[in-house]
Amino acid sequence: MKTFPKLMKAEAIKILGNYGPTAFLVGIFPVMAAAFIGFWMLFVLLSADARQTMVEEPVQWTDVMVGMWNIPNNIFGRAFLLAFVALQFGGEYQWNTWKNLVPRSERVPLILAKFLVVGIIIVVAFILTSIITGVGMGLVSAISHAPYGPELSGDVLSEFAEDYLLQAATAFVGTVIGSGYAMIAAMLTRSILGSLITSYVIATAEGLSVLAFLLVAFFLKNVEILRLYRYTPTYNLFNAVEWINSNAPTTLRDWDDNIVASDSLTFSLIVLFVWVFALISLTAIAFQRQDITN
Amino acid sequence: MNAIRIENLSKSFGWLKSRRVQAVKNLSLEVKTGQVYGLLGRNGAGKTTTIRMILDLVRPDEGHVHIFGKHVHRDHAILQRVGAQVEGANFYNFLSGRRNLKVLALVGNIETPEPRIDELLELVGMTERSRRRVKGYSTGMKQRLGLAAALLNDPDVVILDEPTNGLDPQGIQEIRFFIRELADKHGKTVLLSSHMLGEVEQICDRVAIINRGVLIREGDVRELLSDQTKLQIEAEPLEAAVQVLSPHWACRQNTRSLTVDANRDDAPHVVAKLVEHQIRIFEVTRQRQTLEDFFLSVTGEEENEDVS
Repeated sequence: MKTFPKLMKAEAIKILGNYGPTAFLVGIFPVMAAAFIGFWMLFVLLSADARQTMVEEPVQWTDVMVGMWNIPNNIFGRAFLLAFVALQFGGEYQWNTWKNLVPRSERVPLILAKFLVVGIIIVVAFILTSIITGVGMGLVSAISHAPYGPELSGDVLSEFAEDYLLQAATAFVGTVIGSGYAMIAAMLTRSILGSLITSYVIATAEGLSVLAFLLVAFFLKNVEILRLYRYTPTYNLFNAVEWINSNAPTTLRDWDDNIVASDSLTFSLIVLFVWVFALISLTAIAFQRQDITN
Repeated sequence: MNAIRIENLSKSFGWLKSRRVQAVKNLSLEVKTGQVYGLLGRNGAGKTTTIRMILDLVRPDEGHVHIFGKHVHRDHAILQRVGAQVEGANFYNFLSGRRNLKVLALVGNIETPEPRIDELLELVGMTERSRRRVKGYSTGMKQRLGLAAALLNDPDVVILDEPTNGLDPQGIQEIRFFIRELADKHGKTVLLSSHMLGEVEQICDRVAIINRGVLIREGDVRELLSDQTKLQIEAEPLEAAVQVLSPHWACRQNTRSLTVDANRDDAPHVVAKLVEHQIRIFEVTRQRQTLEDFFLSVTGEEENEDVS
């Protein structure tokens, strides 16, 4: 495992060296955040009403910074990030470059390094996004003479750190699950576009699987089938985010609006980590056995 | 000592049993240390699949590959002693040539690779263009970079799949000379696959000819060709000469001469037979068969056997 840092460095050189797509698919988030802040500053500078709104409905830096981590799990964020991971995994097949790497290293570390570096780059991009937004909204508030709380204290900082880390971890887990889909899709299709489309279909189908569970449970009049949705990544990502943002669980309801599931944050984190472990293991085993023929 | 030992290697591709293609079948061969070994075969003969199995890119259905006595799949680290270029040089087009080598050096766990990268870029004549993106490289430039990549880890075994594809005549000449030097000066073992039979004849010590995944001939280039000489005879009358010789040797009548499939040792007997039958001989010349002739004859024999 002493070679693992070198594998990660090689992966980082590749990903960052492909700066056009990387900037477009990941760099877009901090850039969009900066553009949004610039636009908002201009708006409050030019509009007294906007300044007044800021004073009447002040934003909190804790909410702004933690809230940015919801982007990786929404439709817009997920589309860009799945395209990014599909490019990394499908690209090695499409560019015929696995044949250069596989004889030089064990296969499993190669895949793990890719998962890790892809995840780290996305996390760094969102740390930047949250810092730009947090600082930027502070400037907007200052221009508007609006409060920008909460004031710094030990309690505020520790609560913020806990929420921030949990939200970041949840986003990271969501990204790794998306990477797992993309890698499986890449192995099957051996192309970037195939990997992107297939992984997006898998991710969307998994997200919408609640409808399938609901329909089957309804026709069989068996609510236990609906409860199976509790074990999907989407449900648990939502539940974790809900716990972090509102300190309350998300609820799964049946056709009569009865609550059939309401789970703790610990339950969701365990299920998500099982998914991460299972997807990484599955891709590692499948890649270990795959013939590199192109 | 064997650098590469292949035992009963078989591989087929395809999910459906009825549509499976047998790419390699019961292939066994040994490449000795310091040899330049040529793998010959038509397109689809199984050369590249064999190379991919040696490099653990493709898992054989049956059989084993050993490099310096170690099993490549069970002891993957042995491939650190191998450098290869398989089926064309493919790189990350968005990175420079130098960056590509850096990535491969990191993956190959090479300590302080920069001096080695500089040395290799100089060796393959790519120093000036090394900071340009690979996207703008010609096929020949990519081939040169591929060769540098194959030598990055200073390997004991170098495996090159069609290394002169896309190179200009001068480049081909340089690479041929370079490959020979790898074995002669640096003691490296080279396994080479090529369609260019003249090239293989010039640089290889030993060759294996594969046809439809099966090894059909294997041996030292000189030995294979020494038995395969022909005698070109100008004699009169030609028809009579053919009648006299054809019970003993395969003969073909040309416009003004005849070609006899006979080696150097047979020459006195051929001449004696003709003289005995009072046939006038004007000239006897020995024609050395080229590897191309040999390849075409042995692969042709295989095709004919299949037809019959």
